[in-house]
Amino acid sequence: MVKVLMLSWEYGGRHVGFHLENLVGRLISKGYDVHTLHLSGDEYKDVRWGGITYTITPNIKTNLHIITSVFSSLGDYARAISSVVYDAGGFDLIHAHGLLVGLHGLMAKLAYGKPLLLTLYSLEEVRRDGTNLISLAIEGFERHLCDLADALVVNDKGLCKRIAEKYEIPWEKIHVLNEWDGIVDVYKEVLKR
Amino acid sequence: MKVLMLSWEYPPRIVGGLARHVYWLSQELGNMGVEVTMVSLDHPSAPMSEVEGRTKIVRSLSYRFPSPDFISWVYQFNYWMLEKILTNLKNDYDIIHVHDWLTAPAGITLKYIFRRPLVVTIHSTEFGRRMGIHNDFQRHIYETEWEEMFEAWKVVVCSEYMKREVISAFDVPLDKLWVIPNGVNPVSLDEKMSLVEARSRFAEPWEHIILYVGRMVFEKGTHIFVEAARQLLSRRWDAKFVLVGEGPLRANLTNIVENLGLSSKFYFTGFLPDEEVKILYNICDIVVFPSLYEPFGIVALEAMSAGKVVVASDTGGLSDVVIQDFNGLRVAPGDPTALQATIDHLLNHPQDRWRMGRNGLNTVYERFSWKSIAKQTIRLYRQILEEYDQGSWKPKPKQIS
Repeated sequence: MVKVLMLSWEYGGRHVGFHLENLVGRLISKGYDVHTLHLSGDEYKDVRWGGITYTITPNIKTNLHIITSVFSSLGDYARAISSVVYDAGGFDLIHAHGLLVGLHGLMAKLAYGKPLLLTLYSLEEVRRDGTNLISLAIEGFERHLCDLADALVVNDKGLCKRIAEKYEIPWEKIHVLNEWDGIVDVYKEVLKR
Repeated sequence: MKVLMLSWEYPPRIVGGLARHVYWLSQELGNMGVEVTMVSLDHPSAPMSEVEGRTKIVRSLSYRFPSPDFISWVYQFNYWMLEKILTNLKNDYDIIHVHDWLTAPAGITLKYIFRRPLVVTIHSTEFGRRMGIHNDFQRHIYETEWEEMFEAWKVVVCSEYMKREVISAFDVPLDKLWVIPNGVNPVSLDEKMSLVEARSRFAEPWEHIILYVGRMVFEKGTHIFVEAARQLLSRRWDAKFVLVGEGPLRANLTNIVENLGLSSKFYFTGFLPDEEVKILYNICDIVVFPSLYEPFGIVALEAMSAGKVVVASDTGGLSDVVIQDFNGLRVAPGDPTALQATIDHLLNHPQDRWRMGRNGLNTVYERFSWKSIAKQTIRLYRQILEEYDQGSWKPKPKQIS
């Protein structure tokens, strides 16, 4: 059984959390062992539809902006990842959702030598409000992650084209999936590599 | 025993006292058989990896992408440190040891990734440096310090004063705290050097030299020192006050001295290289530390190691280091009248200066040598590893595979 370490900032509800919940349900129904880590007010471990979710409470509550939120949560995610590795027998594949947990995924890849699949829902150039140092830093890490992830998943061709052009990422590394159709094939391909 | 030590400064990258601390600690630990891998930041004049003595030094990128503020930059270099460690080093360390909050994010993450005990040394705190927490920037640093102490197996502080500070500011349990002082290298001079000639550069032959070494900032109490000097000079003229260091208060204090017509009795040297400071320690008569906040006070030990009597504020780490009437004299912080009276007493009693100076020298050799500091650190490491081996957090062999 393939074990997937699923990393996200959010789970359930709307937006990314909604898509992720949908994906986790589909993977479990296909026999995958999914361990999902996401932020929450309380820290606990929960079993849902056969998958395990780990909710993470950040130790640091006062943040200045998105960069401090993301980086200060590295240790919090490492705590839960360590639990998956040492207490639940490890994982075969990392799937990180969005830039907010991309670095956490990269850290897990480097630490445990497992492939990283990164889903991007948008780019900083679309989200940002003018040119500022925060956005420039985020773009730097966006490029770094696109370079080092084993595969990228996006949900529209326009985003795929922009990533390929802006960050000079080979087209074959980016997969365009509609509603996660074909995700299992991407997993198989990444694992085979 | 293998230790992974993280510090944002390591020679030749020197920002404050931490670089020297981690340098001498790692070297002395190496001499005692501990394999230390020191992870620090790049420097234009240093290779990205080298071996110095028995310490392996690995330097990671300090800058790659823009940072909107200091904290963001700290997080970025922590991430580059992590990448460097995870891609270049093996997971075979017994202990991870970080210094201050600046490498805490990487240290905490490595603790969980490697499942190894984390040791944190707190050299000073944001709460102490700012005399409280006044904005979100400071609060973020304060919470990072809280987090690293919460995650640490043991927390090392340099003085009883710092122990009390972290207990009151962070609620750290008493049994988690270890007091290990900072070490000092005795001030030694080139024997060929003529001290008489050196002395003539700073004072007249008939003048006693009263020395201050440190940053010229409010918390160091330099303004108290100048006021004490003014009071003393109103009664005796055989003293010269030499102030070594830079800082925002320097221009203001120079103006005050000029307005008082006392310029000839003060010498503001500005920043001086270590060799020059050593000379001053050797030619002066009394060294004064009028601090209002001082977590440890390594400069007081450096003065003692030159065999000089120390007059220090009864505050912070200085209260631990300076033993009353044994190796120096303590005065109430912020009290220039008491300070000048104490200096006056010592100027009138050269035998007391000599006696306390000799005792200070012994204090440094017995309690604050790097050998002694390294021995105490190894004892701490051993205790931690004993507890770690007996506990359930350590991964079982099958978990590691």
